Amino acid sequence: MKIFDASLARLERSMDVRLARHGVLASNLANVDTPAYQPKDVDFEAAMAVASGFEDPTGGGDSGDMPLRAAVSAAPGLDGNGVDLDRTMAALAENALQYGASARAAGKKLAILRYVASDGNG
Amino acid sequence: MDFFTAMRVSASGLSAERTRVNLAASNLANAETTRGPDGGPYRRLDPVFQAAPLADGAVGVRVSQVVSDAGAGRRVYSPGHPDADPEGFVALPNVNPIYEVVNLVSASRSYEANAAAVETIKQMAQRGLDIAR
Repeated sequence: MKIFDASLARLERSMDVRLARHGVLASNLANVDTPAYQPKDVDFEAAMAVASGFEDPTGGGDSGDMPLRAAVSAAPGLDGNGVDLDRTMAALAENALQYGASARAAGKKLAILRYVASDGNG
Repeated sequence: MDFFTAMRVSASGLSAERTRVNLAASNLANAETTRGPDGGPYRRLDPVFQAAPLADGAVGVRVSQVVSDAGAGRRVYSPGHPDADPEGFVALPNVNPIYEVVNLVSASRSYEANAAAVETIKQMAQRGLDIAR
């Protein structure tokens, strides 16, 4: 177990993906009344797989390359809009919680580094 | 994607829904207006929502145009009215208050959804900043 392993980079990537997913979900909410709009979602597993294997803590990846997929949508109404408001709100809340979890884990990781760097007096 | 792009997306949704509320309110306020902007009875207005792509695959929304409903309005027999025609009928706007109120509630719900998304991105930004504490 190295102190500077890939876990911080992995957490960073997961926060990047969560942030991009929030943007996509917010897009769906903004277009909840736009005729013929089809909702999208970020494929979280695929987005993390793009990043897996990188050991370089700076290789966080660009947020513009998120793999998108069609979101689970409501049966389109007469206007052809497929946004499911309830599912989208639930996904938004879940996504924010997961982001908070990754942020907290990254904070803990840094706290460990701080502890070690201060000879255990941190 | 950054925090501010996500906020701009939600802001565009808030703005579009507010426009929809404004138009529904205008329609209700003018439900009995016999002298509209073009001289005849007021015609109800509807916003047209259009997806507006922003940076990083984020898609906002905008009101691309406001269309006036060409549907026929009510005709009421009221010979004493100053805008009555020779037969004594007054042409009233094509506003249906029930339709407008349903529209108002629906717009208000969509507005709340966008406001919740803004609240969420604020919490996420705070969590991100807390890493450095």
